[in-house]
Amino acid sequence: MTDVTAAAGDVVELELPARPEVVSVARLVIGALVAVDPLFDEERCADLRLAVSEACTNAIQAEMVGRGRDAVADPEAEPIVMRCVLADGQIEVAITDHGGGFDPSGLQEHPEVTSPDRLNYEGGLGIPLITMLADHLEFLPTADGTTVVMRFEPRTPGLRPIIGGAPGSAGSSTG
Amino acid sequence: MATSASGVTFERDGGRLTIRIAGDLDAATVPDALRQVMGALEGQVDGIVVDLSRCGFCDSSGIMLLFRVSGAAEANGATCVVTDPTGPVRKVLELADPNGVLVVEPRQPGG
Repeated sequence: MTDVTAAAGDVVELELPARPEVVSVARLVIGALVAVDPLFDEERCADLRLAVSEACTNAIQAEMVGRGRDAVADPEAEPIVMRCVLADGQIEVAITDHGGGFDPSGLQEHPEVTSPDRLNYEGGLGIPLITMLADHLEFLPTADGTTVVMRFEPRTPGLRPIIGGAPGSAGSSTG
Repeated sequence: MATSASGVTFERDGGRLTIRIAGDLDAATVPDALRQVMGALEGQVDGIVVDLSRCGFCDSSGIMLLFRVSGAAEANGATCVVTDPTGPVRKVLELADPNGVLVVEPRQPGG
């Protein structure tokens, strides 16, 4: 495990090239940060790693959709930014992309997980998973993209099934 | 730079195909893993076992891979069982597939 020294109120900000290969780096960083806080047990740490993986994947895909897949390999492309704040017994993680904007309500057009038609969709599970894992989830539009803000508390929240649960419906807001 | 890594290996025993996935299943690794897996399904297969005992991380990209394998198996009249997921992977399966579309079992004897 990477050695990390962090304390309450610390801010860690990381710029990552918008490529799928960096998702594991983001997981590594958030895992190391969470491990510093004794209030977050191993299972909760795994929750954060999963949520960050999903959010970073969405950010990278937004860049791909917004600027074209070839643009992802462009060295001039803007990075995605992961900002982590450790404060008051909770951890806030914000992921910012420059993909041109994101409408979370569009995810509701996907068939339910149990529908055979669901197999025709490559994505759409990420936001519902984050919704179940985070205590707070918010989508903030920026000038050229979106910032996804996730807040986590130590206690594992009650598991909320995806079926019937609209993205962003649990302790969250969309904007 | 550290990157995700996954390894996919296959074992055939008659009509039974065992797919062993090691490492991480995420946006970086799933495209290649999916190509390998779907290629392996082109032959005659009666039953598929997806062994996740060495898969340390799986996000929605990996879940979609498992849905793809399960759907392909069903379309060909084959069975598909996901075996021995590690703790974090099992939790993702429970969250993303609450109605049990995927058949998940502990490690099979001799598996």
